[in-house]
Amino acid sequence: MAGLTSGGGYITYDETTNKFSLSEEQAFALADEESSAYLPGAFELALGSLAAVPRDYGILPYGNGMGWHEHVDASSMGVKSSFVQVMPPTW
Amino acid sequence: MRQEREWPTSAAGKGPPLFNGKSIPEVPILRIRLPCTSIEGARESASVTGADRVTFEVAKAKEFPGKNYDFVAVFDCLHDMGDPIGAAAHVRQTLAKDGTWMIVEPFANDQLKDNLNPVGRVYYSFSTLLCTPCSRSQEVGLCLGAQAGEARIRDVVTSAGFKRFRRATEHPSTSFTKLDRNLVTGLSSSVTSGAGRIVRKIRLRQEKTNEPSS
Repeated sequence: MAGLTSGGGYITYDETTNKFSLSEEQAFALADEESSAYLPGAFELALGSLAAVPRDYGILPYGNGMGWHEHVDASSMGVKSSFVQVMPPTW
Repeated sequence: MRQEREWPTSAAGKGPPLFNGKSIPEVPILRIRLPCTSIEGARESASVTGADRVTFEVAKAKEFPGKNYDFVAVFDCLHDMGDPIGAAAHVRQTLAKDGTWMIVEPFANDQLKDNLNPVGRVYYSFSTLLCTPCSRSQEVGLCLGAQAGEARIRDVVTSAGFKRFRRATEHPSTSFTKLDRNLVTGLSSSVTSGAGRIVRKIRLRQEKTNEPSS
């Protein structure tokens, strides 16, 4: 798992110590929920929205719809996480 | 006087309230959401954070209750609505004479070619899977989508009767738009650096309004 995420650039691998770590930038984007660039909410939203794809095949081609409240919770929680990070700090 | 006023805010989807209890302005707030099972979770979250001035109601955007609101806010949901013009008209009818409506929408340029970038890529994807199907599931089904852009949002709200429309501030992924019920308002072009500042100015103006005239 660590190899997978470091290979993708999400964490840093130090070959001299054989240890994994988060750079300041990686932590800013991936670990700090208060940062203005916190990304995991977007990932959660992506997974949540993709859960609806099987149903979409029977809906979208026929011009039908699907309400937000019909999606899995991950969609809304992902929006919530993404949204909090864009709110001005004075809120 | 101030205690009698309420601020409705609305958001599509589910989940806990976006505010934490400490940062909520000291006025009653009415939050309105889509019907969903997690409304109880939102109420619970509000009570845990001490946000006892916040009440939650379930209502359609075109039918939410109340009159003479000083401030109405919609967070990232106008484009999800089937009939955003109808919702905008209802907001206008429920605002006080000098009230303000704040619309928070995903950041987007008006031309497709200008949205072909990483932000647009993400939003067009979510719009296809989430936003436009949601709008399509409701009456009218306008399907603004998550990359509507300022011009289309402006069309929607001016079609509903609003006379004044201004982008108050923006973030790389979100824009904040402010609309005044009437042409005459105490909020001017000095409001440029954040929704929080808008709220503070409204409160200051409100306090001035409530001062006895000399």
